[in-house]
Amino acid sequence: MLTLITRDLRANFRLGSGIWLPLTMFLTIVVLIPIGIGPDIELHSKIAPAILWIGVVFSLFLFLDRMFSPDLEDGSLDRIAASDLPLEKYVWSKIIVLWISSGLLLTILAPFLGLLLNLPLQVGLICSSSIVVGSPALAAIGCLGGGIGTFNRHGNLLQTVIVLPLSIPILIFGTKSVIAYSNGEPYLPWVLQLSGISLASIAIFPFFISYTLKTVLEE
Amino acid sequence: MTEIEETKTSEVNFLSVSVKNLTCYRNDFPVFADVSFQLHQGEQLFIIGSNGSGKTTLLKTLMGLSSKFEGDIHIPPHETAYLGHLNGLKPELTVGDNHRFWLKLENLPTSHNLLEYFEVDDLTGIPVRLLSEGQKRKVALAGALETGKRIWVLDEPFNGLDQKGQDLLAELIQRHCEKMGIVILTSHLEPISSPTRYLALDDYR
Repeated sequence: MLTLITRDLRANFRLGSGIWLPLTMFLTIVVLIPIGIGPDIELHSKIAPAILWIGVVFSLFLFLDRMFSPDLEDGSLDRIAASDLPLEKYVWSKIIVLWISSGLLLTILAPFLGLLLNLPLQVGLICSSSIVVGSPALAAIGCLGGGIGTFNRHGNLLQTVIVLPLSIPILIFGTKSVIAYSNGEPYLPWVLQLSGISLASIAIFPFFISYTLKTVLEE
Repeated sequence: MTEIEETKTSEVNFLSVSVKNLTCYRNDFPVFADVSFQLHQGEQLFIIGSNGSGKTTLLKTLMGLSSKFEGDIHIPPHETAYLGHLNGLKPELTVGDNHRFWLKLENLPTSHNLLEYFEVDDLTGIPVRLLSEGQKRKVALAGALETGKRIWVLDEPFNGLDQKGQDLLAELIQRHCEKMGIVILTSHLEPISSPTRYLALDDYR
């Protein structure tokens, strides 16, 4: 599995866009929304956690169409499926790669971009911790969307219908944890719920995704 | 059925592939029906057929990539190297990276023997996207066959290769069979290697 992760990360870095596009998307959302709202610093500070989390969701879902289709198009998926490696492990490696190349980088950037939104660094760090815990679930949901997109080539609508509703609880819990900390309320229960969702997503979704990929390979 | 079970019990010492009354389906319609063959060590099966006759479907079914079939198949999966008609190479990675990846996936150390054999070992630092189709095919073949598996399942392996590349591959296949390996390959061209067995899929439609 480490071999797969290394190959995909290396390919992402060589391609460049695999790393820079999510970061650019994140930066664009964080910069453009406050410009649209206007110079109300109080309001910026209030909605900063939601903006950061929306940025994370959209940046992670940027490559849904390219999640599995390159491997399908170049024949890698055929060869991997025919090898001794279980397809579920292959899917897990894809989730990890998506998380490292998007989720992890956004986690590091979030507190600093929070400063642009008048979010205190300490609150930004809490936001960062909620992103690091919640983004694996988003990566798993993203891979599910990618798998569905591969299964049904005209399935962009299906992708949206499945992926966006599944990401809503993560968005809510992530934002709530930061708001709870800002208000001096306990934020840990929200973070724990996020980690529970992440663990469940990582454990369950790969089986659905690998089933989808097997069906695609049979076509 | 008895024949297949016997093969299973003796597979440690004796390598074989058997297919009995195999019917494969595509979109619920049979592609071919009642295909049977048995291959023993040192044998080479050359599957021929027109476009759409089911050559790729047969190989995919043998490799467990398709479940839409009826009949019995016995092929030891851990002994089988597979290369489809696509190369499975990442264009943005170098030849060396791609080659290393396929060997590492089989927990094998890096070896450039077959890259040297196909005369593409001097390209290890070059991204695959800069290679010609023939060079890509050679890199893919080297990665698949260097794994040391005893059964080779190859879909159109000669495609894109120049005359010298085709001769090298034909010789490699011949040598593999002499070492008691089994080779199953498809082609819509005349056989370049010297197969011991033929299967014309057009006869089973």
